[in-house]
Amino acid sequence: MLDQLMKITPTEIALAIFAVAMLVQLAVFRAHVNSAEAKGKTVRFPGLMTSLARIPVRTDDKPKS
Amino acid sequence: MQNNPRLARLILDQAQRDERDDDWSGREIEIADLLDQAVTTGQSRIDLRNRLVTGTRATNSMIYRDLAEAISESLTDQIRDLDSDIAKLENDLIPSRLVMGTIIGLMLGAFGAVVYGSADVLTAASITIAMVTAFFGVQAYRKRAFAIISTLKGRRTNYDAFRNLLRSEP
Repeated sequence: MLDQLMKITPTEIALAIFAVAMLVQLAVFRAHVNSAEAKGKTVRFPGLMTSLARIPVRTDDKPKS
Repeated sequence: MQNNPRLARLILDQAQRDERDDDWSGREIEIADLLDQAVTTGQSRIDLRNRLVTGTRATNSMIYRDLAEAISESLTDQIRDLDSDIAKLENDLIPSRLVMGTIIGLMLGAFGAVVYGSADVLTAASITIAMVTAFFGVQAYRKRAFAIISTLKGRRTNYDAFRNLLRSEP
């Protein structure tokens, strides 16, 4: 049994390499989804406050729309 | 909808503010939250638009079109950002599907290797357990990614509808 376990065949190496690659893919995918989730939680309207404050005062030409 | 009077008041106050005052950081968060809630239903959108129209008429210092332009341009920026987030997530979903297929292939491969005799049972079993875990992990995150995409698309639709409503002359 132990002799069998200690003997690493090329097939086992190939399977292990693929398995590690798939786990890395999962970790990358997980990180992307988590960052997208965190970003989607906070709603911000960048520039809204500045553009609102920049609205020109127009009392002379057209007082009421 | 019940927060619309306050939101309209905040927006109109901000619009009458001078650009050089920069003490609006607390209000920015409140306006963003309220605006996000206010555009979720059609009734609420129409209500908010009407409040902004009557509000600008009452102030006598600005015209509605300027206000609508300022808000709708900001909404356009937001829609563009949402589009890019959605595209990134959809791009992430493509390899995840390939990963699911490869994981199933690996499980079959580990089983076949034992049958063929080129791998021992313990190695094959541990790889299979790792891949079953990875399979359900990928599936769970795929579900979450789809949920985020549908939320983002819903928000995009709401902002787009409100932008069109603001631009149409009352």
